[in-house]
Amino acid sequence: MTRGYAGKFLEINLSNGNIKETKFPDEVLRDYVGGRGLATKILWDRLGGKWETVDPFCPENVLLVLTGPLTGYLLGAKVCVSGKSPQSNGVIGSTVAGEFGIDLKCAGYDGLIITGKAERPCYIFICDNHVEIKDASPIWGKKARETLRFLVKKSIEEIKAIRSKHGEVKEPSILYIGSAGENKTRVAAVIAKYAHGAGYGGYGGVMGAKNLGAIVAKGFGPLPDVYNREKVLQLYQDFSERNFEAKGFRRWGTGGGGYYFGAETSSEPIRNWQEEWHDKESYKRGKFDKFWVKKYWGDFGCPTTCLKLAVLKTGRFKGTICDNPDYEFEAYLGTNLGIFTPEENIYLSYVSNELGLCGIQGGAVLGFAADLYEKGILTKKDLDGIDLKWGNTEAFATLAEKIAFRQGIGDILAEGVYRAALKLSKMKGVDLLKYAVHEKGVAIGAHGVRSGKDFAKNIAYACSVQAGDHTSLTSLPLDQSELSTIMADSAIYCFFNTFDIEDTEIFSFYKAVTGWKLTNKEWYGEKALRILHLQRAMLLLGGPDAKWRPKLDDDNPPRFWEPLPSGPYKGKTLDRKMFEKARLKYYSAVGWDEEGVPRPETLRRLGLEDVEAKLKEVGLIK
Amino acid sequence: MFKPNPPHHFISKPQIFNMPNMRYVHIMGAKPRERRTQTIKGNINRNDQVRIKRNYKKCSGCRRCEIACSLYHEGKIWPESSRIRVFMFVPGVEIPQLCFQCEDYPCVKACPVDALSVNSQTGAVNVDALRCTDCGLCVKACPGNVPHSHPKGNYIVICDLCGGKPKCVEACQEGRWNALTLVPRKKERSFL
Repeated sequence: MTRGYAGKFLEINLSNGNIKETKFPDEVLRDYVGGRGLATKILWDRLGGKWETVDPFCPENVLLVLTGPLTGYLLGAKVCVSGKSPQSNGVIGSTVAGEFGIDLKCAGYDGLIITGKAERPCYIFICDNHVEIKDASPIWGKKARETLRFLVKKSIEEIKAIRSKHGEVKEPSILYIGSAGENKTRVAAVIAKYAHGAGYGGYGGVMGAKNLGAIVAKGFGPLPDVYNREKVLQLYQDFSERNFEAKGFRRWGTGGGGYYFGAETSSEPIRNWQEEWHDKESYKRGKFDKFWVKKYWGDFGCPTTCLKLAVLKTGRFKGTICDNPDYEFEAYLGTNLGIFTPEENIYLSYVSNELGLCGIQGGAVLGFAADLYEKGILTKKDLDGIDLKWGNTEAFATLAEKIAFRQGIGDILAEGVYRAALKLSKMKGVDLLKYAVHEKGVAIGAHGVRSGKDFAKNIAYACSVQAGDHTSLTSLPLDQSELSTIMADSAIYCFFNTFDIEDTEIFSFYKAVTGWKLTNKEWYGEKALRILHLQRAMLLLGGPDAKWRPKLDDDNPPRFWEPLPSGPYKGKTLDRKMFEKARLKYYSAVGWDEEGVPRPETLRRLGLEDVEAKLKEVGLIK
Repeated sequence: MFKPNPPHHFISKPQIFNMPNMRYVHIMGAKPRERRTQTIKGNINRNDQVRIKRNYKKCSGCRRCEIACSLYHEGKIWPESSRIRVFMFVPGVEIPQLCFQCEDYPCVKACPVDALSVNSQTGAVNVDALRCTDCGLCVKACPGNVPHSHPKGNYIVICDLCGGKPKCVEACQEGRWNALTLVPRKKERSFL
């Protein structure tokens, strides 16, 4: 009997409305754990043979919403959204916080496998074993707030009708997309609880392409049984207490970094990465405080609760209610657009939440457009009269809306930084890829590598299988690289709650929950590598619209090779030779050849013979 | 695998058994049984009793109170069976909902099978799970709509103050959120 898992997965075919339960054998769960790991396995099994021909927006693509064995037990409840990514054409395990995973597990499911495409806009309603596909036309085209209000109200009525129990019904958990997702942009996020988004990968667009507006889940059961209850409780308490001590992080969240990463480490994107240093006192962490109405805001079981709630009571943007921007939003919807005041930053966060845009991907494409406007490549006429100067908040908000609804220039920008650069290059006849800051189609997280002082260094993005994802960074030695992130994304717990918790402790927690022993050697030498290789293989296979060359595309974007123009690290950039050396070293450490293609003997050792055959078929392995 | 802690009706063991008042209502097959607890009388020292005070603005919505409550009462992490439940009105506005401990106990009065009783030590409402028929009259009587059916069992759950030391308050205070605090219960005090 599997402990920690609910035991069954729900498979929903939107094309014909078939709903069935599936199971995975214990060996698969042991090897791929859940979440991101299991997602790669499912996608490889279903689409691996024809991966390079599958368009992420076609009905064939599989959308996965998966929990892991540690969801709900280890601190920070999250759920992993995955599928073939419209950004990188590979697999990205994108996690989003919220109670959705808990409700799904309480309803008795470990995850959802959604295939096909509905004819009309629909949403999935899950209440224990009652699963239904419902009409979503009332929420289609609505702003996030209205969508949420409608779904909560309607679902509570339905739950009351299904269950003959007394007392108030608690609101269900909802994953939904905004207008950006409905219009199949590549910068759309899957959103939960208004303020949390699974942005990397662009799965909002995949949901939109399936005509799936939202997934509503409510579970009334307990979380699955665990193997060793006392040990789980002891570690739960121990980890919690350690997190309670992290006073600074609890108080400020990552939002405390808006000034620090700019002024101290010089790694914050400013004006589409033209600079990485700023010294604006107005962006210091205390400056955001006066807009907070709530100091701590978190999700199920979180000891840190690093989120904050901000309200603008006066000024131009009076009435804005939003989560206080975290560091990524401060950077991408603030400094990256030349905005250095908290009010405007909070307002843009609110706009991106309402439209269902990913703050990082959307912010990057806005910054890219403004960069081109500054250079005179995009004119006012192209932008339908928008004066897209740095720091012009209203202009950025208007353009964000255009992107979400794919109107005018927004139709091109909605393709994400890389694809928009390609299209605009063709239109304008100039090479614009040098201004596009992306890694394999995914906009890079707001931690620059040029100064070398941030935690992202050197090859961090270049060799990552999740491309620009700043939570999945490569480095050496292997146990500090993305292999440990794979554990967080597969077993699913929050990265921020395990800062000072050792891997061995996580593994013993895993054993206490599932009863399966996991050692460092087993994870870093075999299981994590297997997931990494599957992700790498699918990334290299690519899709119909974009393919990545091994080695040549394992490179930082051109902007990262320009020397820093200002700040204490002025003139600094990466050393080409050092970079190539580190890249080669990383290739050999994970078992890839000098060209960055997985070696046949590594694949055979990991039991991935079919991957070897496929790579041979397309000519990657000679 | 989660073994339940002592069932909740044993934790707050009543002081006075077998009161001479043997009236009960025979509904839906509830078997005649002796009353195990006494309804409120004037001789209890109310100053020792506690009440859970809430500060809604400080609630982070982390639901660690739900975890603590369900672990204590059910031995599992089971948010829906928790006696305290955190409702999300809109994201960011989380409201912990639990028994308010009214002075007049409308739920106890409304119970047709004497399944609800007032614990003489803590002043909290105890539910006799065996006797309760899940008729829902107490929910209707409650001014705050607080009691709710156990999600799997056929009975109502109401906060019993964990026998005087509420686990939800401990969970809230160890994280320094202090949305839930304990205050002494006095008859003449206003609680709003």
